[in-house]
Amino acid sequence: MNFINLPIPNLKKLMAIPIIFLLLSVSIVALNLQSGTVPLGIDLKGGTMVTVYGDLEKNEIIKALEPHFGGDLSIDTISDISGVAGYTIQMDTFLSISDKENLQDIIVNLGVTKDSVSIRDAQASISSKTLKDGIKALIFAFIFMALIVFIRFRTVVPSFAVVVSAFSDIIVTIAIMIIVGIPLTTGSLVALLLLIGYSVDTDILLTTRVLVRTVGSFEERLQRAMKTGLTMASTTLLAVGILFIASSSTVLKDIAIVLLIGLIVDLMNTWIQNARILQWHLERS
Amino acid sequence: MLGSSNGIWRGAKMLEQLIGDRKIQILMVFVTLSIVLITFRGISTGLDLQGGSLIQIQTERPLTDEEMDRVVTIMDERLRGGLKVKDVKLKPWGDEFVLAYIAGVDPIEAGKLIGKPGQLIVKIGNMTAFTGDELTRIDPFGYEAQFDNWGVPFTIGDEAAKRFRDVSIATNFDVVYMYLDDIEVNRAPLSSTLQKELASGQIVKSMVLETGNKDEGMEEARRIEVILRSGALPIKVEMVGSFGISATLGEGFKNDAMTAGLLAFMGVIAVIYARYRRLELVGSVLITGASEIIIIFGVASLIRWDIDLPAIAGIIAAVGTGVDNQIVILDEILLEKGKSIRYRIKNAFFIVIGSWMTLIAAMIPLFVIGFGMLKGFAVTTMIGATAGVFITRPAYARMVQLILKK
Repeated sequence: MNFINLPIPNLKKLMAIPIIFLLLSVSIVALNLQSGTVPLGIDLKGGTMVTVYGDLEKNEIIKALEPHFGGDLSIDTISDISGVAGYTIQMDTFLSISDKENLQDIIVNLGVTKDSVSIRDAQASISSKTLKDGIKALIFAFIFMALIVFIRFRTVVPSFAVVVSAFSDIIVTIAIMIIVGIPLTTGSLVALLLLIGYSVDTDILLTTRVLVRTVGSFEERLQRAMKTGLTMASTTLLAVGILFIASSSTVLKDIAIVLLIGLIVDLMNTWIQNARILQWHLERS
Repeated sequence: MLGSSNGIWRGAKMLEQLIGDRKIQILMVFVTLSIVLITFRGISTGLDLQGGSLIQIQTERPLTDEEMDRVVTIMDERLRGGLKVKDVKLKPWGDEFVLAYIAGVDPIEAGKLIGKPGQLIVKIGNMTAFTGDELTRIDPFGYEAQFDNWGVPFTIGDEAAKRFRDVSIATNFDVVYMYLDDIEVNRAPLSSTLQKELASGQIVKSMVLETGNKDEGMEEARRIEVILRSGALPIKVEMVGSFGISATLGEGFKNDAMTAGLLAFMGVIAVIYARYRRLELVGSVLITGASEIIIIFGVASLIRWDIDLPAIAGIIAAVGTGVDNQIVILDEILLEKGKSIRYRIKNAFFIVIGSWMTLIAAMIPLFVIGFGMLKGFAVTTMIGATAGVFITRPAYARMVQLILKK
C-alpha cells in the first residue's frame, strides 16, 4: 500500500462539497424531526421485536403471524458469513403477556426451538425515556468534547474547525441513516457517541501535524498527516466492516453499520473540510 | 552460519533491552496481574451471553428513595421465591423505573410474576375476610406428617380474626378464596375443626393454609408463602419492557462476537503489514493489542463488571482506537524527520492523550446516564483507552524505538 503519490487537490473550492453535504443533512434531519419521520428502533419508539434464528422462510412467518397480529408487521433478514442467520419481526404494538406467549408459540410451531426465539419489547413510556437519555448523553458528550478541544488547542479557529467537523460527522451520518432507512436504536446512539471520539482523533492528528509541525510546506504536511490518517481509517473501516458482516447479533450490527457510515463521512469532513479551514487560517495569519 | 548466529545474538540483545526497560516492565506487571485475576477471580458474563431476561418496570408515580427501596426489596423477594432463581439483580433507574436482570429465566415467566402489585385479598364465599396488610406473621412452609400435608402457617391481627369469624358464619362456612391482584391463586375449604371453633364464637388468629401432599403440595406451599410474604407493594407497578435471550443464543452470540473480533483484529494486522512491511512492527502492534484486551478483562474481573455484548463491542472499539494511536506513534517517528526521536514521541503523545481525553469525554455521559443495557460499552472503552495511554502505548513506543534502532 502506498499513499505517497495520492493527488491532493489544492483547491479550496473543494470546501463546497462538505458544506453542501452539511446543509443538505441539516435540512433532512430538521424536516424529519419536524414531521416525526426519523426511523426509530422499537427500543426507542416502543413496540415488539422478535428475533428468530434458524432455517425458516420469510413467507411462512408472514403467513403464520398475519391473521393474529395484523398488517403492522415488518420482517427483515439477519445475515452473517454463512448466509441467512435469521429474521427480525417488528410491530408497533406492545403485547400483553398472553399475546406474547401466543406469538412465541406460533413461531415455535413453524419448526424452531423456543431457545432460538428472542423477544424484546418496550412501552412508549420507557422507550421515550431511553431516547431522551440517549440524546442527553449525545449532547453532553459533544459539549465535553468541545471543551477539551478548546482547552487543548487554545486557539479559536482550529478548535472551532474540529468541533464543526465532529458536528458534521454526526449530522451527515444521521441524515444518511434516515435516507437509507437505518433506524436509530440504542446501539446506533452508542455508535454516534463513539463517532464523536473518533472524529476528534483524526482532527487532532491533522491539526497537530499541520499547525504545530514546521517541517515542509502546508501541502507536504497535509500529505504526511493524510498518509497516517488514511492508514488509521483503513484499519478501522476494515475492522468495523468485518464486525458488521461476521456478527449475528443485532446490537453489534447496529453499532457497526453506523460507525461504517460515520467513518466514511469523517474522511470527507477531516481531509477536505477541516484541512481547507486550516489552510485558510494559516494563510490569513 | 555466522550471519544467523549474529542475528540470534542481536535478537537476544534486543530482548534483554526490552525486558530491562522500565515501561515494558510496567506493562508486563499489569498483564501478569490481569492474568492472575482472570484465572482466580474469573469473569462473569452478562445476560445476553449467558441467557436470561431483563424486565423493565415502571411505577405508577415517581417514588421517594425509601419507597423505591421497599419496591425493590419486595420485588426481589417475589422474584427469587417465585422463580426459584438466585441470580436476580434489581436496579432502580431514575425515580420511576426498576430494571430486573434475571439469569436463566425467560421474560414471559418472569413477567407473569413481576408486573403485579401483590394486593392480596382473602374472601370467604364472596365476602372479604381480610387483606394482605392484616397479616402479622408468616412462618416458613412445612410438612405435617400427621396429615400428610404441606402447608403455610400464618397469623392475622385481632380485627381481621373477628371479621374472619363473622364472615365465615355469615356465609355458612363457604370456601376460602385467596386472590392476588384479583386473580384467584388458591381456594380451600375450612377444616371441620376450624369450623367448630369459629361456630362457637372463638377468635382464631393462627391458621395453616394446607396445600396438599407430594411434590405438588410442596410447590404450591412454596408459592403461597411467597405470595403471602411479598405482600402488597406500596404502589402499583407495571411491566413496560422486556428483553429475553436463551442460554443457547447467548452462547452463539459469544462465539460469534469472539470470531468477529478475532477476524477484525487479523484484518487490521494485515493492513499494518501491507503498509509497513516489517514483521517486528506487526508483532509489536499484536502484543500491544493483546495486552490491552487482557488488561480490560483483568480490570473487569477486579471490579466484577459483567461482560455482555455491548462490553465486547467496547473492547473492540478500545483496541481499534488503540491501533490508530499506535499508527500515529509509528508515523510520527517514521515520517516527521528532523527532530530527535524523543521529541517525536513526545509529539505523538500530544495527539494520543488528546484522543484519550475526548474519548473519555464522549463516554462519561453514557456511563453516568447508563441508558438501555449499554453502560458496559462505556466501561470497557474507558478502561481500554486509559490502560492504553498509561500502560500499553508507552511500552509500545519503547518497543518501536528499539526495533527501528536496530
